[in-house]
Amino acid sequence: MLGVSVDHIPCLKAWAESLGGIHYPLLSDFWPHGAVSKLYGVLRPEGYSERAIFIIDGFGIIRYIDIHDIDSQPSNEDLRKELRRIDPKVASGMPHEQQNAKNEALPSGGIVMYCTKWCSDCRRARDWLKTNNLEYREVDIDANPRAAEQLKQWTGGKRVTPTFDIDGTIVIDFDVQKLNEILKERLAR
Amino acid sequence: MKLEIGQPAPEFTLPSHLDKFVSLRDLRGTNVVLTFFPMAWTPI
Repeated sequence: MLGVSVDHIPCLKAWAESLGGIHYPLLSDFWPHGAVSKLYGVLRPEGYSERAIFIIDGFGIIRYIDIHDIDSQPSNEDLRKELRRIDPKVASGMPHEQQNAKNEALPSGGIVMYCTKWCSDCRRARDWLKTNNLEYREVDIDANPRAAEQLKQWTGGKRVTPTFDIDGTIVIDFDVQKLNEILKERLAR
Repeated sequence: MKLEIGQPAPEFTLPSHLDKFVSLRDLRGTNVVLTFFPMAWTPI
């Protein structure tokens, strides 16, 4: 789930906070103003976007488009129905998986990366770990509320991804220099 | 430009309110619900 608007980042942050925090990314299409909205054909002449939903499948193909009445909120039920149609296993399996994830203990020992599916730095970190032949385990903080809670404790309330737990040492963000230092010490032990 | 069902979704990278950039291409392999909303403080 991604949200996009032409608002600037501080505005999106304030709004997310006012709603008690939004954990999926709200993207700012502020500058160049509305460029992505325009790319998707939903930029209005007034300078803001339509209320619109696109469902994009795992191959990057558009599977559903709803340019909604700008004054009414799209129904979550309709959206779920469309998701089920496009990928039956995803939408129907989701609540159950989340239930299970809730009770899942967090791994410790070795390299554990707290990450999300969508963050670019997590992807860079994955590539880096693989290139360096480092074994690691991943915890998806969107799927595991306990992991999200733990991450918030480490990062002072923010959900910085990736964050690493390397044998109990916490490295916040994809900080290659720091990671290298810790891994070197680990080898020396 | 008007997009249609069955077309590849245009690539983009945008900053997010969670202090990270998000690229559509990083999300291959999962379904993405991309919602545009006119402005903050309106329902999403």
